[in-house]
Amino acid sequence: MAPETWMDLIGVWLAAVLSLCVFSFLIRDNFFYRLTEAIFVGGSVGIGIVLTYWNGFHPKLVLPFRAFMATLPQQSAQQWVWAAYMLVSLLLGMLFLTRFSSKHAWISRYPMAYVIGLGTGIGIPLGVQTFIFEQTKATLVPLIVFRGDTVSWSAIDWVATCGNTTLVIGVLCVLYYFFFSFKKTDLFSRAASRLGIAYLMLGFGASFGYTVMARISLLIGRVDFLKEEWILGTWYYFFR
Amino acid sequence: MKGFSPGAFWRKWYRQIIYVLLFAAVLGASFYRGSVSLHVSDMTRGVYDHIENVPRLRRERIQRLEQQLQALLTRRAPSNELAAAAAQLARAQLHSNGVVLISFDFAPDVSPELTPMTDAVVRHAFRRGVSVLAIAAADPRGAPLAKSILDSCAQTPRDMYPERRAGEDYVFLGNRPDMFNTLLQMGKDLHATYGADYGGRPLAEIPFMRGLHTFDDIDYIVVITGYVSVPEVWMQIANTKYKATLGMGMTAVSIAGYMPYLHSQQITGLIPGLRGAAEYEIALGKPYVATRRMIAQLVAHALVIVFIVAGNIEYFVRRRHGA
Repeated sequence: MAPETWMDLIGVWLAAVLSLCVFSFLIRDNFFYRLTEAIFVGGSVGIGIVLTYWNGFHPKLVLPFRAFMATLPQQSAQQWVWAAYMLVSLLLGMLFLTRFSSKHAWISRYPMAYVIGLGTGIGIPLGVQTFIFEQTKATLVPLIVFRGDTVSWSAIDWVATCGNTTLVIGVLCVLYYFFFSFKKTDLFSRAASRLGIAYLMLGFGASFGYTVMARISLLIGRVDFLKEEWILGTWYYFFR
Repeated sequence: MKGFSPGAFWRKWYRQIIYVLLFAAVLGASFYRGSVSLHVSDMTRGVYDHIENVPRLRRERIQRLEQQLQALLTRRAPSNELAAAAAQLARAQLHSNGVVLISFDFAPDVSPELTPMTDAVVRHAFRRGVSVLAIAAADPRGAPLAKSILDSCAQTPRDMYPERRAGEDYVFLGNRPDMFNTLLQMGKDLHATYGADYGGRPLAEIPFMRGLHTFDDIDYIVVITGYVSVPEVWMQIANTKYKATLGMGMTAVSIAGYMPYLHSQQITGLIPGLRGAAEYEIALGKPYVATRRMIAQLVAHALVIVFIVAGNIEYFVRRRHGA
């Protein structure tokens, strides 16, 4: 995609130069890399703060409160309760800022307690349901799977049977591997732990493979940008 | 050259040489304009098939709601029950081809991996005539990127569908801080949660939004994310609490950790990184940027395998020589 305006072109060049500065770290740590890193961190935090204000604070608090204040004499009791609720919320939120003072930092524990209490109250039941009950349920599978309703040797679905058996053995062995309450010296314990490690290694191997793919995808994206938008884009901008 | 030792040179610069070779391989492969043959995996198929079925699911839902309303009328149910059922039916009929909620939960840092995937999913929904409601639940930095992807898909249909219009065929709501509470509130009242769309237009003024009040009015949710823990929040709230149907697309680096949720059917599908995006394009029958990038991916992976083998050979040779 070729840049269409001067501003586009400047943006593309800026992005390209910053990309090259980041790549320069591959030679060795240097000033240009550290400068780009600082720009990235500063820019991310800055844009995060501005967007959080405009996406949350402004539409959720400033605008409704301004509307409330504009028609103050006609407000109903319900509106006053709402306003009080918003003010208490605002105050609670502002107490977080006491973290900046070492003398008053303890006050920030109150909003922290509210947030943690609320989060825990909502999160624990949902977490247990989502990550423990559902996952345990998914492990309770038949070890021998039959095609249809017939129970006979010829009706065994061998692929599903092997899959389910491998799954159940894997879950049990990995759980056993992380069971540290006694020393695993007997043959069964050592074999189960070894199998658990093998399952874990397979998992790590898959993760590593996917990680390589992910990182190379990012490299491809950047190389594509440098080639298509920076070099060819600049060429088309001036000579098309 | 006097004093030059290849061994010493390699030991000093081997990392840089590997980087340069990898860069050259990716750059060289990007000039190749051929196509690759890809098998569409069941993980990717899970999201594709569900979006493909959204219009049918919506038709079935409308029929079900009509039957429920008829049953209420027959047994002379109280007027408030009748009104609620009629309102639900009216909302369902407003988006007769169904609604997909797409959450753009990523920032520009993982855009090369997730933009092609998002592009393919949005185009698929547009092609099926499904209404698209979009949000950027996790990261405010993702909102401008999401807007540009949506507008690009709507305005450049690549012969897949007629041009789509913002506010009629799709609406982008942007981001609200605190994802956990935002999703909790969305399950109760979408309008109260967002109030206005990304451009600041009040939701009450957008006809598209009249058919959408809670997760119940949405047929399918696709979460595209580059963050660990974002899928967990979606599963806990949208799936476990509000019983919404979820599909996901994510960066390849996180995929292995989320496969168990596919097995437990808490999500219907999982699009794995750039490869998943390429598979999705193949399933759509419109190979595009992700499919083209798979050639570079193939060459780079081959090179990485060569490096791993060479490294192992070097290790064993050194060990034999007692180094």
